Amino acid sequence: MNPLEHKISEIKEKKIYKKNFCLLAIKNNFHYTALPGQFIHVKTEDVFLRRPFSIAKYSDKNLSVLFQIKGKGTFSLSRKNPGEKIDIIGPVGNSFPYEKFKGDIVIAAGGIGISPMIFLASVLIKNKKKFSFFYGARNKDLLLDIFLPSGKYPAVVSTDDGSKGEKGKITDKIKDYIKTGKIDAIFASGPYFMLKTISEIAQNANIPCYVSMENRMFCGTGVCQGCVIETAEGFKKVCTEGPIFDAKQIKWKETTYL
Amino acid sequence: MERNNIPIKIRLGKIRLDSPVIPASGVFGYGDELKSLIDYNKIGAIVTKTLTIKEKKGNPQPRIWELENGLLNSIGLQNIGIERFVEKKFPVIKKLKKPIIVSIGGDTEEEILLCLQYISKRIPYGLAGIELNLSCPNIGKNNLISENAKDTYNIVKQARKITSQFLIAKLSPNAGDVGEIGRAAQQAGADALCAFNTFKGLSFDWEKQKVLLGGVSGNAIFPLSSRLVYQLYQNVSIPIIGVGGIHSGITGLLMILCGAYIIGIGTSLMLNPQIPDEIIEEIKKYIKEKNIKKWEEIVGFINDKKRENKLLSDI
Repeated sequence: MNPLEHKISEIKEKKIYKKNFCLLAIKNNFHYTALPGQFIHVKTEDVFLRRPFSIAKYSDKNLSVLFQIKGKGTFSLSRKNPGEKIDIIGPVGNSFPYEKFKGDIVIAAGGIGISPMIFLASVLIKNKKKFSFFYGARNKDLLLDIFLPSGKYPAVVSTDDGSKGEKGKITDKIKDYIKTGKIDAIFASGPYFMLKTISEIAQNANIPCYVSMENRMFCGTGVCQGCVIETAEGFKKVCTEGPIFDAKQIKWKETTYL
Repeated sequence: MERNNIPIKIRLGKIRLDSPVIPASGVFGYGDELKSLIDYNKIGAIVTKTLTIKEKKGNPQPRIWELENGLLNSIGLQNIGIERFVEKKFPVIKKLKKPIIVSIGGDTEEEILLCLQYISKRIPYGLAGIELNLSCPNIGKNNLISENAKDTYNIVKQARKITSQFLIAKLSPNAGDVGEIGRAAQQAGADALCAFNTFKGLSFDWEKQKVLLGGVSGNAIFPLSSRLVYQLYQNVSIPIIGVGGIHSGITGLLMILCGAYIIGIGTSLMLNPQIPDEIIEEIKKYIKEKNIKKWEEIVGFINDKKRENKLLSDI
């Protein structure tokens, strides 16, 4: 992992989507290159702790985060405007191990979990990797399919209520798809129980699966041990030993106190 | 290395410190993790997370809970154990050429002393200090050692026999009379007091209807901990490491003026890695303004104890 950097960076662009989602492009003044799956730890006003946000888009010039406006912290961040500065630590964490896999990859994303997968898909496109993108949400208001990067790859979009795309759970679409051919790996990001289901599907089909985990987080730098989840090798920190985990290693739970 | 953070010499025991600001135990990992984020020239020492005789798995989730202006945590002293620390981590942080304070703890008095014996054997000299954590609120016991003067006296007394290194007793702010506890630690031979650990606190997860118990830290506790440091200073003559809710240059300075000889930054260091610098600047300004020549002059500057002494010496 690269050394962490603490920066005060200028917001270059802000866009609000479907009233509840915000894309912030921030000047990229990190010295080290960020990798798909990594996040930035952002100080926001009105709440005490920093907030972790996956990097959704990345270039030498800017990096973007895409988030749902849900509570005080995300609301306050969404009120920031271009020209204003924010205090960030990053890039934090490990990344999707896409280089390990030669064949077909499945990207699975649910809801706002699409964030890191936008970055991942664009890197796969750049590296001429074969992949298909499965993206689902509960309904069309929560669907951010406009963020699917342009390129020639199969994409399946679904909503649980059928208000846009195919009707049904994206996990079911994936289950059907992997029967049709050889899949080398599944990379997933989304709500906990979606990841749990995908992990089961992958394990049953004997396909390596990596998931982007979330947890309540304090330091975001690997020292406080606040964000640990239980794995086969004991407690692991989501911030710096993750956020990407081998799904097999995770002790999946019935509740979301991980 | 820049050694002129403060234009006055500061010593902790025999060790000269580059800065009166140190990390609090628990937010600095094993000492080298934050090298790229925090300017090590601006901190006086490295302080490790609390180590125990055996590796500790820590508590199940939820471990942290955000409060209005602070943090509730219940990590449960997760750590790799003193042996692995000595073998793997200590050689690495030694190379950073900073004074090192190793924090040790345990579930029982015996465990703490065993850990002290181990470290005294493996690292018999050269540490800037050994902190005895007598105050972790998250290890499943209701009464902490440092909530009771007799227990505090006994363990420090025994610890004193084990090591001649600089011994720091880390106290709980939840004792009825922190002055009494401080005096007990001093009488038993502690070289300094670290005041304080987190306050016992509660929050509630409304969604899951779960009561959350833990230690409260962060901005919210500053008026509480500074008041206790003020009180403690009137009761002891050994140096106090003031910790608890410092979150700005001015709160850092105030803690020193209340009676802290040096100050520890916990929660805020994670939120603002630049905070040691901000505090140093504030102290420098004050020293200039009040024409302070010796570090001992600024420590407790606004404390009645010092004022009374000053008045006496005026007569």
